[in-house]
Amino acid sequence: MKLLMSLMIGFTLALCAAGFSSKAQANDDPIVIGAAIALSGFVAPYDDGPLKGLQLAVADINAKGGVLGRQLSVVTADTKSDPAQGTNAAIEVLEQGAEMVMVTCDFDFGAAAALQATAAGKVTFSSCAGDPKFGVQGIGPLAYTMSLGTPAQAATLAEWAYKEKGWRKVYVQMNSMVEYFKSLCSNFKIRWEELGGEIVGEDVYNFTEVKSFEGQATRMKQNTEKDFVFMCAATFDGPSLIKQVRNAGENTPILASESMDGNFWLEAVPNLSEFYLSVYGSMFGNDPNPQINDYVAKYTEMHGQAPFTAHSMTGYSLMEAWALAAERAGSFDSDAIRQELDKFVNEDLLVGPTSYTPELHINLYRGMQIMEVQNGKHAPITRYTAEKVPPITF
Amino acid sequence: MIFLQYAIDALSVGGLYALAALGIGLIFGIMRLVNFAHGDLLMMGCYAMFMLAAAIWPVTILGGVVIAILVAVITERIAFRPLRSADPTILLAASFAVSFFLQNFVLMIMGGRALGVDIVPALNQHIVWDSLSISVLNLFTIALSVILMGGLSLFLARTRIGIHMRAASEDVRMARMLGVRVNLVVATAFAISGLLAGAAAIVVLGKTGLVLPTMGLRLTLIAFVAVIVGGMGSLTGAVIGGYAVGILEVVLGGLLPLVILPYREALIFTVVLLFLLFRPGGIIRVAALKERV
Amino acid sequence: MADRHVDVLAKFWPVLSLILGLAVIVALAQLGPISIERMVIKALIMMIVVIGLYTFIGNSGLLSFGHSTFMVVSAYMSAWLTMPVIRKKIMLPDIWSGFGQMEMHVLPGALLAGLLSAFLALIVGIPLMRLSGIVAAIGTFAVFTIVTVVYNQWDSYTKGASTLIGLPTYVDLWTAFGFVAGALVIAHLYDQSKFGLSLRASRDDLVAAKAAGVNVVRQRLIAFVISAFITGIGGVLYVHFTATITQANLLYLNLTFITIVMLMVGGMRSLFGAVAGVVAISIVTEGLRAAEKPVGVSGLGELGLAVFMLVILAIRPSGIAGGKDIPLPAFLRRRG
Repeated sequence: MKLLMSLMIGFTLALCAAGFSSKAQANDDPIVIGAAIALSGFVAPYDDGPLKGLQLAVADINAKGGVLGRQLSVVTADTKSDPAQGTNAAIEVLEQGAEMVMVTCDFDFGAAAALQATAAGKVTFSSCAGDPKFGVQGIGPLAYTMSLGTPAQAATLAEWAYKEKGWRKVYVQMNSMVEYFKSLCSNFKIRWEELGGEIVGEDVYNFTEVKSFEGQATRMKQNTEKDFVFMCAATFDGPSLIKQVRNAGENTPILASESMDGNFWLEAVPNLSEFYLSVYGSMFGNDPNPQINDYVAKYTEMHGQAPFTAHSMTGYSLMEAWALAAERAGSFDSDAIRQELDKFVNEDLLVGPTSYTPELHINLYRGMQIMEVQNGKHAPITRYTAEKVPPITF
Repeated sequence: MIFLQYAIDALSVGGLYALAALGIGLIFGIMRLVNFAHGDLLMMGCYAMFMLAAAIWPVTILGGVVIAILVAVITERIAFRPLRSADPTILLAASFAVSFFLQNFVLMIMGGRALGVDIVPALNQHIVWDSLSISVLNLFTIALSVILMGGLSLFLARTRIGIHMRAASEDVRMARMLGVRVNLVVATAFAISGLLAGAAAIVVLGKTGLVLPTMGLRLTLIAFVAVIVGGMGSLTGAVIGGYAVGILEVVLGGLLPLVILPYREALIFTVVLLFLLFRPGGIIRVAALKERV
Repeated sequence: MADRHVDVLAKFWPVLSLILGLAVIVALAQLGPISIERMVIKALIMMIVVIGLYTFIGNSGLLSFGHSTFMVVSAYMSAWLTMPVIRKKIMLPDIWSGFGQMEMHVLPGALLAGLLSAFLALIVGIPLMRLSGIVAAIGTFAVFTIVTVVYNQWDSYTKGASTLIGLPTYVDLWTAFGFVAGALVIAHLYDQSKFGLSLRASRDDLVAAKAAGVNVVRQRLIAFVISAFITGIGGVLYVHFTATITQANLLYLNLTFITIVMLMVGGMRSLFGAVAGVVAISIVTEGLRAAEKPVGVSGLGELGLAVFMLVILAIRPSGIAGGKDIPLPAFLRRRG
């Protein structure tokens, strides 16, 4: 009995000691940045780039002396691509002393972790969640996203298509299973008609891995009025659709968004041409902005391979943003940093001019790089900023 | 003319589903096992073809089929043989575990990103006649499903092991007593299902150009439904069920107004549900499987 | 102890033993770090779902491949009833004002949500329970697909493909435990009732049961409805634990697979099996997850889990519990 009691007391003391030691931080200790993201599972491809971008930013900032004289370090926790596990991952990084938390590039997958991190009073960034809900209204005043909001992405594409390409008639093809696609397409249609464009046809399918797009291809081909196709899909279904559409002899230009970024899928449609998309930047070494090409070079050196998509830049820039806000606030207090972030007006970050207000923690007026794929090769066309974004709803 | 185009599309989609249904139907007939890992056999075949894409195309597709067969036979030996006489629900759970294993295995090694590949460029060609467009792949799919089904029927009717397989699917104990080597029969059945999965893999990769660890799931579910709709225990039923689901999918895709299109999957399953309520035995009813009372 | 007291205890021992055992686990979990607490709560929630599954599958011998339908239906119903009005205004502005103004207490909300699932089970069960074995399974899967596709597009009520956040969080350790105890009691009472007995008779020998006058379709329906209620409650707790409802990543389809495996690994023929399966798989999952970290290769844990499932099924197809309950301790056995 005595042995048992002493064991229990000893155990409890050890637990307390462990608890206390994680709280106490000497002033030389690095500032911990936590990444509660998908390191495994199906969402991992979307979080992998931003994490590596974040790590590069941390290295760059540390090389210049850190933030307020303190070095930065990164800890990670795996959400396993499970939205519910996000809370646990956030708790894990918070327990390791995270002062700022980065979560998944998606509202649905990152919300749980973000709710936990903001509840613990830490500024939380989603790398590239495009849903305006990822902010004050949906999560809380400490939540920010480095993305260009989906309504803005849609407006950018609509305006570029109308004004720069001179297209007038669109055929809209959408996957209705993911919120991002629905928002992208509906906002595109709104802006398109506002500009004076015409929607001459639409089609919808509802599953992430439809195998047979014959029906969609036939419907698309039947519509001979269209100037181009606007496609709301991602790299797990879009390439298959494009392949079957092109194989059916349908060669109308196709326009898509950053969800189709990357050249790892191009093999599916050899010698693809007349494919256009908007991205955060060109990861192929040919971006008009030399800073982005530098980024790609440094990233490749640090991680052994080029970024798969430009989303990685959002990871870099959120670190830039937080560090900048902390320097201006002169402290690491989350509320002080929040106030500085909310004063951002076209801050010159890698991913582009970034602005936040106390009500809006997502970007709506920042340019995207429009790229084209001709004969299987990506080339930049122009950087385009939307003039007007459809009203956002939360 | 447009109806003809839709008909061709329907046969193409149906052909793929028929191939998948055949693979599931064969194993179900022999062992009352719905092999939920069947789609993952297809997935492994596709990844094998992805890795062999640089070789000449006969090697690529042969490699894919061989891998699918190997995985099928190995999973039978390791996961299903110990459970040979267990309740079908337990077998089903085991197939879930196998599927989980295969998907995570590929996920761990290759990552979750969709990877693009073009295995047989010739399949991308299309024949244009008037306003009709028939892709070589469509013709290939239809031909493949017919040939494989015919071949399988002949195999089951004429070869010794085929006859043993049919015997075992009717009454395992009796078959064993009469000298049928059940282990060999089951292993052969799985090998054939692997072959069917490999064939379907060629079609899928030809159509979609992408490999993804989860790519087998939807096809497995559709094949499952197709087998039941077509009539369990009948191979012809499985093929007919596959074509039926494919035709339904394309017809609804063509006819439904835009507002209802996102609900297409729900409508397909409503039709399936209603059909099963009125004809639970499926399109082709197998006498031996009817409940006695 | 008087003989009749012993009798009563002995009769309830199967469920009592489980409740006591879980109480011990929960008490221990309270002492641990928050991550352990969360893991145990999740396991308790899964347990409720699997108990529901067992109530139908274990007694009828039929497979339900669409039980997650009830999780989805009840989850959203509970959200409609209990989410704070201010949250609803932001998230679901177009919902029927009846729901929009409502902010029910979470307990009646959960129970009503469970009843909705029971009602749905009644409606779809009447035609479905006539079907045999695997065909009924496909039928339930068809219902699942129909419901999830509709809910995925029903923007004004479910936010469609997006995530609903802002659900009240009330699922702590002892709350979850309380619900599990409740589910266990309901399942046990049903098991011991003449309904349960009749259904099991039809499972073991359909022809004999029919000949003995058992209305098989009706008994299946009763089990189906009760199991839907229990599983629905499990769904409610799940979403109030995570504070969000989402259908992303085929969540509910994957839950279908994992819960069926949990039941088979534990043993589908006894209540103990339902509990044992969840406990075993939860421990192995978390253990492997922790073990994975030092090794550094993500994904090995999942492979290990799959291997564990297959090994258990191979060496003990009847499951860990083997279709039995926890045996009576000596002092409860009748003397003489």
